[in-house]
Amino acid sequence: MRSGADVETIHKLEILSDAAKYDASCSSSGSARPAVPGGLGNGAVGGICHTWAADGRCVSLLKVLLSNACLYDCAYCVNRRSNDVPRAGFEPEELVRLVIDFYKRNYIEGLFLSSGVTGCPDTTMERMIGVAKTLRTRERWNGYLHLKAIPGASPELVTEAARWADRVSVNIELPSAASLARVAPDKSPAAIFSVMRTLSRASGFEPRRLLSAQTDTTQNPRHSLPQIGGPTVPVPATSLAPGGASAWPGLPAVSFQAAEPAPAYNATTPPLDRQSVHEARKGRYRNPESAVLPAGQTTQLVVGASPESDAAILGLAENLYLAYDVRRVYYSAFVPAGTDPRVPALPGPPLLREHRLYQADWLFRFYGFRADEILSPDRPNLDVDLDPKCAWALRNLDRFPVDVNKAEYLELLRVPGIGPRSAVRIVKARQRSRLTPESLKSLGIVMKRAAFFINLRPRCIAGQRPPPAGTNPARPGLCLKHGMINILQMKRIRPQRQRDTEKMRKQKRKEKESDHGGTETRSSRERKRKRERE
Amino acid sequence: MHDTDYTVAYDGSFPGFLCACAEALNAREPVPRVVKATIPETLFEERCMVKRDDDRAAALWARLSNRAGPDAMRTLLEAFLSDVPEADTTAARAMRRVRVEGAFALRDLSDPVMLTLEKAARRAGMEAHMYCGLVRFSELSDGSWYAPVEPACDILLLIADHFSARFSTMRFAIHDLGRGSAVLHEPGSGWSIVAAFGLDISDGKIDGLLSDRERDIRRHWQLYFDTIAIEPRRNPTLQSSMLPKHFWNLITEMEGKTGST
Repeated sequence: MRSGADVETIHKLEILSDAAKYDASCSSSGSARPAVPGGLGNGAVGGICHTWAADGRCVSLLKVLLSNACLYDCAYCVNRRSNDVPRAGFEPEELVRLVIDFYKRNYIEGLFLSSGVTGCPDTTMERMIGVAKTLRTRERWNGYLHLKAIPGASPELVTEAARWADRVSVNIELPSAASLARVAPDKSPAAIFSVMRTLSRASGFEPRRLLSAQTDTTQNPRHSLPQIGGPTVPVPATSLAPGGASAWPGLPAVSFQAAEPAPAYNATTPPLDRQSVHEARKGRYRNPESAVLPAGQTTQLVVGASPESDAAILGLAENLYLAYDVRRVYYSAFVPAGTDPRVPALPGPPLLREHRLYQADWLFRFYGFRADEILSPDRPNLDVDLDPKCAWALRNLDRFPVDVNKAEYLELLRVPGIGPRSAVRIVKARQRSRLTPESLKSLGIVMKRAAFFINLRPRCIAGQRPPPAGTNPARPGLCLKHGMINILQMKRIRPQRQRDTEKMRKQKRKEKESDHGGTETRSSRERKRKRERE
Repeated sequence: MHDTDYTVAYDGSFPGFLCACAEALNAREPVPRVVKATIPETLFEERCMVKRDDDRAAALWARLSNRAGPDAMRTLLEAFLSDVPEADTTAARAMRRVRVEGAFALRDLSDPVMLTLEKAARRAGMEAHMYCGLVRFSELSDGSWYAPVEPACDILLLIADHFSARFSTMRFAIHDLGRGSAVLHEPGSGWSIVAAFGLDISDGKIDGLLSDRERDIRRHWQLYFDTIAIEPRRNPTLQSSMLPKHFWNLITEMEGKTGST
């Protein structure tokens, strides 16, 4: 027999997890919170996925809202005030019990707690902090805790949340201030960025402007709680993009990519002195065992609910990485629900676009690319058929082929088919002996792609002529130029119509043949006729 | 030319393996291969069986750790535990170089031995990491916890530390159904591995032993799992590539699911 309380919990869990599932972040990495004697749980710094849902996304945290009743009316959000959905709210005690029960069975790595805005932002934050505090102090629970900050909450409360949580995040929601005003009228850029600034400081990083070359990136680790207050006033956007207005007033980092509208691209003054995200992060000190916000902050924006180009989104993301030390920017393909006129009616979520944006995002963080390298002025959107790295390589053929036996790590990373793992393996393996095409293959390099971009320069054997320039020793007889064409042919998806006509032609040919007596071909018919004549 | 294939055999345990390695390391050329005793002897093989001696094994372990450091030792252990055929032989060959050159030898991926070793170690390491998330504990009516697993590699040794640190106050058993072994953890006294473990159940089903709340919590979890997927993004191919179906039969939330589209 199920008790009444149990039925109620099931009902609430269904409503509140359904309401929380559009928050993309489910990572549990970055925190090595130690276990305490007599307590429960600890942090795993690499993060652990516990299962994968039917949409293929990993489930690592119990992702729920504390309440899905919301004062705000954001057009993209399923919990908006004007949407007619069942509303519910967890009692703090109920949620705590659920978390502990799930955690002890190793179902989850921790809790992701968000909430609709009830009362005012501060009241909502206080309720969430209450749950966090109970879990940490009374239950002595040290699992991973991701809290969502409410835009507009006071710095004191945001800092308090940072004390209990491993990660606190606030969603930037849309890629420009204009779109935010239209789609989410209750949220303001100032409210969002003030929270981001507080979080940045809480994790020991001073938010900064990024207008000129960066020289000093290393931060002194801060072990104590950060000071509340100080110069937290929103920084006005004094620097405007050349030829365009700033997309986000109040964002300290304004590069020309963040400018909207997209045609504001100015190719003549590329900020080449600017650091890549990868480079800027290399010297940054992060302590996964820190008591305050070990996993830092993240943010999320909806893709497809507003007209911004990929260039605008990537430019903004790069700025967020550099200016606020955001650990991740999540891109969430807009899932059209309802008929709100403020958001476009799409046939389905733009999943391919989301995928390409994530690929480009990875190029920032792990491959040392800058936003302006991925998108050029004449291409404000990412290629649908080619991944961003391959597209970049084909635009920069003068940088290839790369000599794998000599090239530096970052140069290797730029070769399509070589990722961080293979690049490390190459660097390791070549210390001892020269690399050959066979050894590269056994190291796990995707030669199908990399072969066209690398040069292995075999040793000259006496009496044998070296291969002519431009040929690729990795695939004898294959010249680099042809390699490109091959890749293009391989990757370019032939238009559906072309494929259809080909199919039709084949079918017609078959039919013709069957009309002429089944398997009889032209040559066999001729032979038959010849025999008859004889 | 040596036509005879010299081998050193061990009983299948890790200390036994280390003893065989010690034997092979000290042997003169040609270097004997280290094989499991269960592998049948071939026609041209000259086999010598080495007895398990825990002190000797510990001595070699300490000597190698000193030379190569803990990371290299973990790689060797992982490779041994991986279910890759002849991984033990490879690990023994690698050890020969590690003894002379230290951890640096493991970086030489152009050596096929080191590459095979790394791949085997990776396989076990990855599976151990996977199981850190996929172990599912059930609460028994006596307040202890039980989790059945069926891994391809012998990963219990690799995950025991993780679970005993995380659930230090819980009395639990992680049972490898395929090998029969289990990690047992008692609060306050750490973990141990037993070679043969069995629950006291007559009909082979664990249901009778479960605590009263266990069913309810499982139902909550299944409900959560079904709700969290976004329907317009449904992608069973991605799901089964991230979580291959051979894992599904022991995972609570996959109960009754066939994975069909």
